[in-house]
Amino acid sequence: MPPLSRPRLFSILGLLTGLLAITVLLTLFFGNVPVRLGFKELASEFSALVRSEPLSRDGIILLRVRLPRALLAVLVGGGLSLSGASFQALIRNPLADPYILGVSGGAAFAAIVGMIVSSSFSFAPVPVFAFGGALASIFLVLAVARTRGKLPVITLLLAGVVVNAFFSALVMFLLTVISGRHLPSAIYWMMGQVSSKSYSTLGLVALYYMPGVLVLLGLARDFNLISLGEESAEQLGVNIERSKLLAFVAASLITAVAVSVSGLIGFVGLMVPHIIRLVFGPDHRLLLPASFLCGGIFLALCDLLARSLIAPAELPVGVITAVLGGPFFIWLLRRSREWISR
Amino acid sequence: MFYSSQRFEKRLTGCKGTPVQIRGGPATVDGAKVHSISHWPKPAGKASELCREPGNLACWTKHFPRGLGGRARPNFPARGLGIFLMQSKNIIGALMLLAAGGALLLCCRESRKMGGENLRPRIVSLAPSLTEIVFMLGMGDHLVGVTDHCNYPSEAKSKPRLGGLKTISLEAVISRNPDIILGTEDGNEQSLLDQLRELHFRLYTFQPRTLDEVLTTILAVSRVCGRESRGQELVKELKSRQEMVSKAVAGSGPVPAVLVFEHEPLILAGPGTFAHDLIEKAGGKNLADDARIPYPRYSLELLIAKSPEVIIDVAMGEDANAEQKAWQYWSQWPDIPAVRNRKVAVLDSDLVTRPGPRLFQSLVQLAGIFHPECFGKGK
Repeated sequence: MPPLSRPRLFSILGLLTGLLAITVLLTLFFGNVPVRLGFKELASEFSALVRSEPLSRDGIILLRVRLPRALLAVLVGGGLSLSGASFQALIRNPLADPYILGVSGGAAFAAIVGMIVSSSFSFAPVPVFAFGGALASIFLVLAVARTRGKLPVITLLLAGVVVNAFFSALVMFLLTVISGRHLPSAIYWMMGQVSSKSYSTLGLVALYYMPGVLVLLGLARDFNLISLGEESAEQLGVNIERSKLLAFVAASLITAVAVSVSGLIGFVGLMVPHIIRLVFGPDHRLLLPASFLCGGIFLALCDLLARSLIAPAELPVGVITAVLGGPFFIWLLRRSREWISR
Repeated sequence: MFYSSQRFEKRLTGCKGTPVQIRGGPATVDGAKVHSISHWPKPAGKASELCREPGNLACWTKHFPRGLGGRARPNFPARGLGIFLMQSKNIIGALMLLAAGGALLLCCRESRKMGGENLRPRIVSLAPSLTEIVFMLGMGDHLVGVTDHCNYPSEAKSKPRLGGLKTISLEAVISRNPDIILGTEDGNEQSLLDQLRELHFRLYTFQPRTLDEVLTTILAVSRVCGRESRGQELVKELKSRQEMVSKAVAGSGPVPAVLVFEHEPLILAGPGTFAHDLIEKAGGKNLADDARIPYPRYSLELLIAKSPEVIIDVAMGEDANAEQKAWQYWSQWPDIPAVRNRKVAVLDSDLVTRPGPRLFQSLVQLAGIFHPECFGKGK
């Protein structure tokens, strides 16, 4: 793997951005309803959308049903992959993803509580609750795992597993006692799904993402040093505890927002960073943004499959990612068995 | 005195986990057919009559949980023992003999006590639809146990609760001392039904899948509860309602419609559901009938493209804001004819998913929504 140079970084990221754009276009033109719309009409429909004028039927299907859904898939897939890559770097364990460490468990529990307490199922309260739950669980994990001012990886992982189990139990408790009115939505939400949200919701998701994404990208150099080992990183001048804390909060924020809009979608945050690492090398300055872009591509394609495989019915997208991700996880486990048993 | 070693053998093998079909077998009303409706030699026979026949095994096994745990000897902690006897694989023979003998004796006492007809059966219902049917048959007073979901009629709410549809507690059922248990094959946990059968309760299960099968179920329930004439009256009345609707909408073409359970994801009523049956019988055309799945997550773009003229939005539970929420969602898509013409109706989910008598009420209601011109009303 050649060392990362500036032209290499930009050419790879440019290539992936192009691929992402092609993927979104592809998902735009596949669907259950045949759409006869050339690029010129599409442009005029698009300008009508911007001026919030009424659209034609095809315009509605392309720009208000398919496009928001594809964009949401990109945001969710990208966010989960980015935070997955960060967790893997922080914990220096190839099996880490947002779903370990209790982050998603805490977010899921709090989001369901949010669904119950808010009489309306509007977007607003759920991500706030989810973020609160994610932060609460990550701080709980950090507090439990911290020994003599340090965060050893082993106790961190164990604390994460315990906290996740605890929150899963609470989620199961809620699902058992929850009233009939909330139960179906909570269960569907747990399965993970990407749906056509309004553009204002998408904007809100992007807004919530922004600080987290910027912090994580800014920490890429620290991640590189941390991956050499914590002692080496400290000797090389990284304020390791501060970086870890910042990264955990940022990654939790992104995970919480993704979980709150799309429920629990597994394996994206695990698979994508590994594939990127295998293909483009382990430098986090490239790994982190490339994970975001590829995560978006991956989830958008998974969602395309989810809505076409048994058309006109749809599958939960979590089914597709898990079916693809399960075998991958096993392969990864076999490959890294020695590393883990060490 | 009624004891015979052969009978005891049967009991013993039964305890070892070998399924011994002592009597009729599982009672299932599947569709129009009523297979072997009871564990009893005579389908709807009275327990007391059976008990008077010497050598009838049904007698003591049936009263086993009741006789030991019930009124006869309240302090004898044998109800738990009874379950233990039925389920445990390594049982001490002596203990069993003792318990079985005790049960037999108690049963004989009970059978003498219950000489006449059992006019007041203690009924336990394991599904909201069956609770509704029992109430409709005028047998509500006899219900001694219902599920947490039984909310109609309002009297059902004050009945003792046994748990959720899938989380019914076996102990709670046994503690109600039921004479008749009504359950559903799909709705209830199979293991619970098996356990109840093993304990030789009079369990009847029903699984109607269409509107007509609901009528069969009502008849069957009325038969096992000893209210056949009332059941026949009720069925006749419901049938006449159905005929009234089908006559009224016969002249007009089917109205393209969808019935929506959830917005995100979009869950519609597909083929093979009561809701689908209701739409089609009320003079509508279910646009989601191409889905091949009972409750599909449906493609939103296809729904928009199919232009439903009526949207039935189903609200779960008693939700005061249901209409407002439904409108909030559907107003996003003003190009759908149903939304443009404000033909979005909100219906309680219990009315379209519960295979009970109220389905016929919603049939009339839906027909009124689809074809207001035929009923001289509408929105």
